[in-house]
Amino acid sequence: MTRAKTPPEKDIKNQKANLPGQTDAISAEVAPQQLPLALEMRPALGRDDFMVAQSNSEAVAWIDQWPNWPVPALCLYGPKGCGKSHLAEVWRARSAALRVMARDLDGVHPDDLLGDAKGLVIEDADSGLDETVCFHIYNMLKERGGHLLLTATQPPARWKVALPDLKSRLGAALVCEISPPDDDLMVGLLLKLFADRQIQAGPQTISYILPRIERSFVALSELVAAVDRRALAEKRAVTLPLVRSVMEEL
Amino acid sequence: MARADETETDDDIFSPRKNDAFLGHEEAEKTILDAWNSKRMHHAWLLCGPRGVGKATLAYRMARFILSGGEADGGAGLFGDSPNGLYVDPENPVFRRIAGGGHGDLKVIERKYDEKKKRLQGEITVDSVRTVGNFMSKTSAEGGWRVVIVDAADELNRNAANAILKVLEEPPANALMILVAHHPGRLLPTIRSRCRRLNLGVLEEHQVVDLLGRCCPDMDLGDRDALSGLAEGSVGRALQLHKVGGLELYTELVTLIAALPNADVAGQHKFAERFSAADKDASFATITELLHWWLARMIRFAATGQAPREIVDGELPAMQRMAASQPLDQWLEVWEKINELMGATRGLHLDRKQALLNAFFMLEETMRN
Amino acid sequence: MKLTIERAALLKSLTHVQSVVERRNTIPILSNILLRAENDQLSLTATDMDLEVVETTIAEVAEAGATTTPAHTLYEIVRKLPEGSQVQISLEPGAGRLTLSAGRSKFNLAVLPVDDFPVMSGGDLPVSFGLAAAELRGLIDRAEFAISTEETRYYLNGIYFHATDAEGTKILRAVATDGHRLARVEAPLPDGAENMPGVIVPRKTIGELRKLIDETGEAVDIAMSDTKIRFGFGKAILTSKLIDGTFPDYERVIPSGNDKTLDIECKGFADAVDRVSAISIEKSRAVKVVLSGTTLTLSASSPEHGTASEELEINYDAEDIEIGFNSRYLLDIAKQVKGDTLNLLMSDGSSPTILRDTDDLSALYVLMPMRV
Repeated sequence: MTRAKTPPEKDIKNQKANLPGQTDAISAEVAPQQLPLALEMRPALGRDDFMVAQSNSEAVAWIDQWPNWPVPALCLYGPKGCGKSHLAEVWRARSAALRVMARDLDGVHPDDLLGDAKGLVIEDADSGLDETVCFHIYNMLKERGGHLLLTATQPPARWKVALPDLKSRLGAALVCEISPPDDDLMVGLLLKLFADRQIQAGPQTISYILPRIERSFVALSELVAAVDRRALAEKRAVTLPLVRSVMEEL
Repeated sequence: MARADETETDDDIFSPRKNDAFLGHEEAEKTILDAWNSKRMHHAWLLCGPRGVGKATLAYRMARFILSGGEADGGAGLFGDSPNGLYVDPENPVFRRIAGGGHGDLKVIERKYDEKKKRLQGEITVDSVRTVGNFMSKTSAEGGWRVVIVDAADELNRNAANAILKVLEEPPANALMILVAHHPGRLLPTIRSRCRRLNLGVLEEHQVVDLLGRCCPDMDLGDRDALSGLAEGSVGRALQLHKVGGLELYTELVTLIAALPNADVAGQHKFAERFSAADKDASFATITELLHWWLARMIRFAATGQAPREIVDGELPAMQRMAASQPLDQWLEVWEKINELMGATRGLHLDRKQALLNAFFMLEETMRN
Repeated sequence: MKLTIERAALLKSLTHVQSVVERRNTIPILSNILLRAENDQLSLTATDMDLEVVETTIAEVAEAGATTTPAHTLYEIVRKLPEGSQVQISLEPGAGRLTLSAGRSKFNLAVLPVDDFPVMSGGDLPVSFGLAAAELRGLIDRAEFAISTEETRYYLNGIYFHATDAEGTKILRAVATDGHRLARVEAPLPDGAENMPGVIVPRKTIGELRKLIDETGEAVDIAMSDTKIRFGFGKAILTSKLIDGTFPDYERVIPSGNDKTLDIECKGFADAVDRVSAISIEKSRAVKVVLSGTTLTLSASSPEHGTASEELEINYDAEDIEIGFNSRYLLDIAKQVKGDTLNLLMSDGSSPTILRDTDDLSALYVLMPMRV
């Protein structure tokens, strides 16, 4: 067990208290801390739960347009946690498509993967892709009149695609950027992230957080998770002082 | 004109909880009904307007309508037409339970009665609002909607207002918040922006007369007429005045003022004496307002030349005499001084009798100068 | 309304229902209970608007009728009547008073109309099934201690009941957690419960339910919808609102890879934990558990009071481990163990530990450690 450095007064107190031969008793200078269970709420991934703002309105419009896409493939790209997967899930549910992570495409047989599905979501498509498999899937879906949705952090033009045929197909795909959140979206996201955990955060809390946090989806969700954990560990309500102390430590 | 006093209790015949009489806000009622019929019921409504025009009555009307299934007794057609009014029959069990305070799906947030001080608390505190969280966290008792009425949102203190805001931001399904506000401008802007707002204006005089007739069938038409003149479109105020004998007070007040500058000193003493006792808070507040109001009308009359409605005989000549004796700015000054004096008397618990006598004297002196 | 009833029978029913009625009520009707006399029965209904209890008892009804009257006043009166007396209750139409007399005592009680009284019985309850009282008691007793009292997470302020499959067997599960520990208790799924919705039954309802179960040895009739639940005990019926929230995905916090297992004699372990924790400060009550070879060492310390430790001999062949727990939580769980042996399944000092009664695998407890 670790014994933290403590201010001198406390040390004296402890020397008095600690009897010889009992040094492995719990160190009294560090208050024991209860760890919380990692109780997670399933995030709400319905279309109504998706926050539309300027930064993602184009992507939302294309998802809402389906099946009237001019080409078989749509690619959504944007920073981690910007809502690509949420939107993809909305589309997947709507189109009865399948979903796969790009890394799980390695060497699978396109027939086995697709069955008779007419839609597929490939997530993290720029994190290494079995190009041949992807190309076959594209063609199969196109033949069936189906659709392919790709999510990535970069636009397809910047992916390192070696296979020329695939490269040209991707070049023809609809490409939509989801940019970092604007103010409206930050507020909406915060409320949604809290609501996913069935936490009601007050307006003061929200307006405290906004100017003090990095403008990214990841930062918001990490903060909300940390606040939730702390509140659970200490059995306290989510209040401004609690949020403040969590932010000071992050 | 603000309501004279805050002593309204549940026993009032006209308590919005128990009252089925409602007039003069057909537009507002239709807006609510259209929202309901189109299945796009906004989860929070803010009913704004002066005191005593029927805001709380409309709030309870909405609650009864929705909690009885949204099929108004008065309006539902034979062929399953949409209802065309929010009316629910007083014999309807839902009406009865709401009137008795025994409906499990209605939560009313209002100022609490302070047992120690024997009066209503000055504001709604956060513990009252916390019960809304508990109410909303449970499913409905009768299987339908859950309704919360906040009467009035102006009375929420800061913490309570923030707590309400939390509920407004994350409304559960099939739950409705109805906020009543006399001064919506004083609410947190974030509360206003989260509610659908309905403005209820003052009532027509004949509507006040009509409503008075329904709740006080024994009152004769002349009195109802006079009271509605005093109440300026607020039936709540008319009832409040009626409760403290406001019409008689007003008549006596006008008689004493009309005699000026030849003061009826004995009459003034006798009149002012009755407000001295400690339990005369309500009547003193009423007389203060009536005096304030009478002078305001006199000044308006002098400034515009438009004669106000005469509520008590001889009022207009008295106003004319007073206005003619001094220039208008003098009277404005006196009016202001009297307001200050009365305000200080109420706030600092000064001698009420003396304050009234002083007010009469100020008027007399100004007329003589 | 006119009836005669034995004081003992009336008192027993009143005792059950009056506790539901809140003592401080500004709304008069909510301080009342509903009395209904018909078919040689008197039924008493009490509610706090979140739950309702109706109890029926035998009475000699001369004239059917119903009214409401203040619960606590009625209860106090009946309690003070002499044992063995016969109580006459009557309400003259239009009298506005309920008359209660026994021997030479006579009381007049205020009444309010029945129509003003809250109703909880409306609405369909499409799912219904029977459950043995002992089974229901077992589910509740072993889960109740873990219910959260912190109101921000209102969806944890109750026991989550739902139907599920465990290794091909259909079961009824009761789950409660406060974020520090979790209890998951199972019973065979009763016929008719296959389509039950997952429901969170509020803490207060659980408390009232528990009292009623103690009074009955038989089967409980349960009926529910996704907004309401009803428990029927023959003479008493409890109807309650549910918590309108989503219970968290609790299965994810039950670890599957814990590899350090220890069987320990439960009573001896609990007593030692209790002794050692006597030294630690009130709020955290942390005890450290060190497992090494054949020795388990419990220790605790407090800046004010000093230190304590105790060794127990164990049968343990996994890797050494140090782990801290809130002693109160350990004792709460140990209390649920009816068999001799408690099994701890651990991973490390910062991951959840699983605890079970080796004689009763229908209950599983998860406990998060303390960082000590």
